[in-house]
Amino acid sequence: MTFQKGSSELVLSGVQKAFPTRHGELNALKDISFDVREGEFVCLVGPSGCGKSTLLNLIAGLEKQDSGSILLDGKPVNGPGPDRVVVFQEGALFPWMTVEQNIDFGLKVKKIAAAERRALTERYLKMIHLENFAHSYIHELSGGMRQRVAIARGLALEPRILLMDEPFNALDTQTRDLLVEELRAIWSKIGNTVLFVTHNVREAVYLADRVVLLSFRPGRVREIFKIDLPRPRDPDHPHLEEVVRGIVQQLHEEVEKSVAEEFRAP
Amino acid sequence: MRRLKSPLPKNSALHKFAVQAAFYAAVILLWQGLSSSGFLPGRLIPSPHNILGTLHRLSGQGSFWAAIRSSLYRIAVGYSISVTVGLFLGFFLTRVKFLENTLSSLFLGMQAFPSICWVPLALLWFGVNDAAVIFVVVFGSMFAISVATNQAIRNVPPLYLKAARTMGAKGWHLYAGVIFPAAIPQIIYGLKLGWSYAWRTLIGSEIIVAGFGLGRLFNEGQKANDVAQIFAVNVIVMVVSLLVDFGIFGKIEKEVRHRWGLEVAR
Repeated sequence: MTFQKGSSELVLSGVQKAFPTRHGELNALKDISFDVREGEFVCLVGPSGCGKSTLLNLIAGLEKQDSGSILLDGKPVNGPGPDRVVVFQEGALFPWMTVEQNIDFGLKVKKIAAAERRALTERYLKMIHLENFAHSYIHELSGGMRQRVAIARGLALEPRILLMDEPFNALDTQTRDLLVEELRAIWSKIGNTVLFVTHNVREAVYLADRVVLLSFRPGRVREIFKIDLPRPRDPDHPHLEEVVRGIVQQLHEEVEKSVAEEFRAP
Repeated sequence: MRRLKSPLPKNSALHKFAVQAAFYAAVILLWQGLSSSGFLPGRLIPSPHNILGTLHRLSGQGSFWAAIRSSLYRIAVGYSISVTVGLFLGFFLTRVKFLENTLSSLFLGMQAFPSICWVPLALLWFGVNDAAVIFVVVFGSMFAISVATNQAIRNVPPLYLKAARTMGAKGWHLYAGVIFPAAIPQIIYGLKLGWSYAWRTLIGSEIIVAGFGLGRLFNEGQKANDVAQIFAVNVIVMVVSLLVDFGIFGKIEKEVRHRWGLEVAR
């Protein structure tokens, strides 16, 4: 089965980004070009320090690229906006608000009418199975519950693309597996566009339509893997295993470069 | 063999209170014993019994209550101005980079400046009246509040700002919804610090500018060679400090720490 996804929604071409450091310019991203189609689930993998998070920040509009273009629906990205909500690794939920208020916050900013806000909040709370925790404060929730709230907060804004920056990294393995499964279920239901940054290849292959592998510094697109496995996928299926192995092999080469870099004297 | 449980669990508030009450009762009893036995010269250090007697005598005089009322009036007016202006200045500095770069060092200096030094100037500017004392109180406490507010806002975790901005928040929503609430715990600390500066400054300047409020009672005691009166007024000053510190700020801080999830789980 092939994926008949919509037209290109997010298009990156020739994106470059460098940071000044004490030892001169650090090329974080070099000539990044790829696209994400409407309703597509794309995973971005690469060794740490390859600029995955920087790239996500550029797409989110939190930082500006030095050159190249990032187009969302044909329009250049200019500053952050609710059409590109980010789910951060640490959740970034507001501790002085209840779960419900956290989800409501962005809706209020978007000037959505109260009745509709209530409906949206309820709908997405239900989707993450936390409707009984609507009035809890964030510190009363477990790590996994917090990330679920962060996902609901992002989804409720119905962004054009949901950006996820290693959202399950701070969780233990069991919780992580649970959340990956929950995310898959949600996505299969609402079919929104997702760009998901992770360093876990198995997770990427299980979730994604395509996996974009970035190289170590400067981050370039090393290869884009189309994951042609039927859904729902079995995480233990030998075919999936094979795809994972293929990507991991290339990833390891990049990780080795990064390790070599780290051991080199400054 | 199992130990019997104490009726008051070791960490309970009641247990702590009982321990403290017993301790201070013992101190007062010891003091009374030393006074009664003639070990402490009553002319210099009055006995607790004597202090209580003086408090009782003073409480029968209208001028005593008038003195307390006028001190409380001046602290209320002075502290309110100080909070309003201090919060505004602290907040305003974060908005105007030029002023922040230039004025924050001045404010820091002002915070450390002995507030009593404002008294001569205040007397020249305003004459011997309420306004002079209130001026000194405001200048003695306002800077601590604005410095703390300024730092509180600057210390808001960038992750909250990022999250809010990707949800489209700017201007009012960003400030009222995220920056200000995120800064609240530290701002409250500044308000508490400002309060203790204001209270000390008030009593200090009332003693210097003779004839005002509680300061007048101190001066009367000194002139009449009545150490018991001086100790009695000390008790009043201390009671007000404790009431505000524990009764008001303690409660607010506890509530905020709980709500913001800042309490460390034991």
